[in-house]
Amino acid sequence: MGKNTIVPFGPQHPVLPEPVHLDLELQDEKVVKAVPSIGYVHRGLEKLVEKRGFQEYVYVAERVCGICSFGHGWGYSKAVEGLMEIEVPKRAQYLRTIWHELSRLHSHLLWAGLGADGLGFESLFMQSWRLRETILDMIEQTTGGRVIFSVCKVGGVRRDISDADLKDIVSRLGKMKKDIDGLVSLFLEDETIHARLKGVGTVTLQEAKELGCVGPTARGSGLAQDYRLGDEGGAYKELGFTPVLETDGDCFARAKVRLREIYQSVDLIKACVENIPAGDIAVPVKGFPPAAEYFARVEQPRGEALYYVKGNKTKNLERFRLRTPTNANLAVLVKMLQGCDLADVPQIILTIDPCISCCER
Amino acid sequence: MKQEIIQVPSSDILARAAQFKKDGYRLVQILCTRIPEGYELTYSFDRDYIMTNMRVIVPGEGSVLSVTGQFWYAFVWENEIHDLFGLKVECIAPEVDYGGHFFQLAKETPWHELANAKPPAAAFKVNMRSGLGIDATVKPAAPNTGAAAVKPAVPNTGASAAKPAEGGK
Repeated sequence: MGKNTIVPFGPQHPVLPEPVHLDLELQDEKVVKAVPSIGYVHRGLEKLVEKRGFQEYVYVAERVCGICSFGHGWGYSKAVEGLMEIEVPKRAQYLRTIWHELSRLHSHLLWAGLGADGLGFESLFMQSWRLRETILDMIEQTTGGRVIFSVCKVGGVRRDISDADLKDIVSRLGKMKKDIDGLVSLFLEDETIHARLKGVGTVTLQEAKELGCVGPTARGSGLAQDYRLGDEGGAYKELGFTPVLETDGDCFARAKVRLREIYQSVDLIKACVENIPAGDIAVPVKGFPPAAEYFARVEQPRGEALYYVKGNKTKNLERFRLRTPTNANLAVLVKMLQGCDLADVPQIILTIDPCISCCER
Repeated sequence: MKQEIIQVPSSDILARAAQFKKDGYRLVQILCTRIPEGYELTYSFDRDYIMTNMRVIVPGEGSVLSVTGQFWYAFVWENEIHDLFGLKVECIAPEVDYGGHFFQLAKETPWHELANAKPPAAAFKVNMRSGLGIDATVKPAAPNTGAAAVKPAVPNTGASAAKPAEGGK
């Protein structure tokens, strides 16, 4: 048995799009302990809620993360709407669902690219991001923005989507199917990817429960936990929805969940377009948030995110808290890294789809 | 949506957490808020997408026991609370007690200061800026039952409607 060595991993590392540091304690090539540390991109965004008006803060909330920006804006708005007992119009709920699922497509395709890049599969990386560009074009067509949309506001949404644009989205998603099929089959059938991901970083169903996993990380272990099932304020309950589950619990299973969720998001968007009701897209918001508190949740592409707001009858909220999916998945990451090979560390980190700027706020 | 917050003494944290675990709940998060009395901790538990919250008030110089014995993954939030707020969390599972090194920050315990010590009226005056496009109105405060109650309320018209109502200023 060799002596223990500490290998620093990050905060700058080719597989890490964002900075997290891990001290990996190694025995030969096996990791025996992983000690994470964060704080490199801590911006104090929760604290900023004391300095910005409660309606103005939506813009800050969606800047917590550049990938799930819409979801953060929605989650914050949903929490304030709950606090102020605001009923959001049905059409706005459907529009929010459409943009949220487009964000999920964008996020999962981005992840597929990063995952492929981490494996050294550059052509797959480019293929994934080429498809992602089409999604970003749809977002730009309907919101004017590509990454930060600023369409969500307290009380509803700022912009409507015309019927012609809705049809165009469905048509473009239909045309993308062949390309998505190609991407998914390559990811799921390639021998190199199997060799790198199968049987690596395995989390059993019981462990997933005990480690508080969320999102595709939980669903990859067979844990049927998806807040879209318990959602209030979206269209998911009306559209019917069953979470995508895989049972192997390894890196490949987590990748598979995300890839299958691409199809699911496409179906949800099509169902939204078919069923979207006519009507208002927002209600006027009068007054200040009361001296009360409210918790809201949103199923982000990486998993369940929690938003807490506390009002004090002034324009500013007293407290805002965001518990992001990566924050919840750090525990399982620490566990998964124990006992793995050093060479597998990048893949294991990538398959929880970490978003560190989300995690730090 | 109904949201339940149960207030419990800090000595009951472990027993309550154990009961939640036994009942099949999942710990969703731990929230820390700095309040004039010290720290307000809120533990959120979920079962079947319904959340129950447990609230504990910890004095400023006090400490709180870790729930990592019941919910191991709570170490993420307990280390965060220690590093950002400066609240001591005792008995975190030793392998995941990072001793103040979880967050790499330029400033130690940046959220330790009392963030909201100023009274709401002062906060209102400071933050009332024109031109933000905020559609908001201010209701006059309820009549004071003390000495000031003798003074008749100012009619809620025009510019006076936007003034804070307390104190008759």
